[in-house]
Amino acid sequence: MNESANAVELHGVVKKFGDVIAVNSIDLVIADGEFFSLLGPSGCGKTTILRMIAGFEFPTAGHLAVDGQKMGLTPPDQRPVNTVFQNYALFPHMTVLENVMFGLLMKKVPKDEARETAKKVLDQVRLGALGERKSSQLSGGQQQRVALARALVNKPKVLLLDEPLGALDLKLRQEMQSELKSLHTEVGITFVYVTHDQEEALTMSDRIGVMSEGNLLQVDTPDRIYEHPTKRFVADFIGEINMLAATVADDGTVQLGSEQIKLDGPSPEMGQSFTLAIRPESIDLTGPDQGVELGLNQISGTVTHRTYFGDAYSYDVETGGGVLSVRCDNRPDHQRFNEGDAVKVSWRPDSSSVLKD
Amino acid sequence: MAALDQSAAQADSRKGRLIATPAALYLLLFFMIPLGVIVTYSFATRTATGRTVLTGWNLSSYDKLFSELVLRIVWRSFWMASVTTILCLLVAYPFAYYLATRAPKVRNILLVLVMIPFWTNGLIRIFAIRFLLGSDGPASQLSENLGFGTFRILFTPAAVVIGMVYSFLTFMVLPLYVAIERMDWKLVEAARDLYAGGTVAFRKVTWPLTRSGVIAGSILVFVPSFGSYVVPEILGGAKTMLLGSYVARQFGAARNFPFGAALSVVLIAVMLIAVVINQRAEANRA
Ligand SMILES: Nc1ncnc2c1ncn2[C@@H]1O[C@H](COP(=O)(O)OP(=O)(O)OP(=O)(O)O)[C@@H](O)[C@H]1O
Ligand SMILES: [Mg+2]
Repeated sequence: MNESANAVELHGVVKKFGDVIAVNSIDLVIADGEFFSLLGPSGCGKTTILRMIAGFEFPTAGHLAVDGQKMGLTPPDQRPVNTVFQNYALFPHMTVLENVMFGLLMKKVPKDEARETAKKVLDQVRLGALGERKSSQLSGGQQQRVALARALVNKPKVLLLDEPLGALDLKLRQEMQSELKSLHTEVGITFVYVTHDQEEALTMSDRIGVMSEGNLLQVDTPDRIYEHPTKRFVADFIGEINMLAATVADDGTVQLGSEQIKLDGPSPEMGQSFTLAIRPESIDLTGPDQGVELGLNQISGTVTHRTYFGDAYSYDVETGGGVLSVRCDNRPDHQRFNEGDAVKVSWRPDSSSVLKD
Repeated sequence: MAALDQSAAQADSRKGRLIATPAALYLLLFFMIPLGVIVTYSFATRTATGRTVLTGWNLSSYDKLFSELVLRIVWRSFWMASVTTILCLLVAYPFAYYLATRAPKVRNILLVLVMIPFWTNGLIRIFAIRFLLGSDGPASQLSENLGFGTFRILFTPAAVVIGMVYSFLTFMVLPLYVAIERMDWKLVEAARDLYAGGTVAFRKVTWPLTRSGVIAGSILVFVPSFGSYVVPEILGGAKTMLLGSYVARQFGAARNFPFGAALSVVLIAVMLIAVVINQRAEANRA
């Protein structure tokens, strides 16, 4: 064990299958003990990255290290990582306990000791009573826990999870999400978690890497990813967002259509056009004459559409900068507007993001 | 409502029986009745003139099974069938593995290649082997040209085993191919992920998960090898008489129908045991 080393490092990693570029020159450092999620749509290369870390595939170019050691062509059985496979891949010809003991026995742990350790971990995932069952006699959620126990029992440096909750129904999935999260805290092992479910990634991760077509577009904490996406794809993939064309004039002021606004942080270069992104819930809606806090961006507009969601209202507001979608919580003090009402929209400069394509 | 359901179910089962009738009749006529005849004959008496009389039922044909000559033939048939089965397995497993792991297009071509010999007359193929193995045949000549001298393999047990392996190899390849092909490769990856090296992963995962194919293939090779008649007749010598030829002799030259029938019953029993083993294995797998 290398105390100070990063759990996983990828440097310029490329993976091609024939002409298909599955993973395109990725640099990524995952810290020890981190819960890191790879998020992206189907076919973007998430599984391929996991398989390269596990040793089932080898990079076409670049290199990767686990626990500070360059992996090169090291086969899977000699890497300090374990995988929870997408459909669990439990050994059907073995009992639950035998499944969990497998890795320990391969590492030449004495049989009795292996059995004791395996039982403990099975207890930890609340399956202590099912050790003698065949894995085919378990429900989806139980199989999932066996797969988890089978990997965790080896105390790997890194645990790789490929959409481990993908096959479960919604309720069970939510239950397992919090279970996984607390397990992560408990065992202190680095988790690399693959998912295409944005909510899952946001709620569970320390950091998220958003992928598209083999590229790693943005790596950040969940709140940064959600509130300050840097790429159009990232903004669009996660939640709803307003995306408006804006330009920086030669005098350095920022124009959103006919309106002048302020940005937070460094603006794009002068004379350049860019995309301004802002979440519907980051925008406030007030009457046209109501005063707003100083320093906020404010533009006037007209409500063109209102949708009721129960816990919230969504308004489409036509402004000089384009149509903005605004989301207001349905609280008792919420001032409701009707279609056709003149309104004022306002937002803090640091609530918006500048997107590159 | 319930009554309706029931009558529908009855109509269904009636229809089912109707569909099964031709096959059932066929099996009754050409399988059950001959089988009954064989079993009956095995208890009959052979007169001094070689006629079979269906009176005075007795077990003397079964007594004869324990004569030294018969035991030697059974034992020889048994080990030659076993060797054939093991050789088939050794040759077929790697091949089936290779086959099952190719891209679908390549796989289909290879499968056709496996089947082609099957579509040619078996007798002709065995005669071809006889020519190949003869002391002035190509194999021997090649050996002589390479300086190893000629060899005499035809009419030995080795020639019979070679012929049987050749004849029955397909029966081993196909079930193995099916078993390996339907195996979930993620399981092998899981084993590798859990620190098993390539060989250990094969032993702990691939092999047990393809065992149903191994058992099915072994039975499909062992049973016809054990009762084999054509191959030993053509490639074996007088000294390598096998059970199949011995049975045929009882119904032919020796004209001892009851004894031939008793031998056949033994063969059938071996086959039934094999089927039971197979079913046990299948049940275990499920
Ligand atoms: N063994 C392979 N041979 C050829 N192409 C492959 C192979 N494995 C993956 N690919 C291709 O690489 C790309 C990335 O695949 P990958 O499985 O990593 O996607 P993913 O992000 O995990 O998708 P999903 O969410 O659907 O699991 C895809 O276009 C896929 O078709
Ligand atoms: Mg995947």
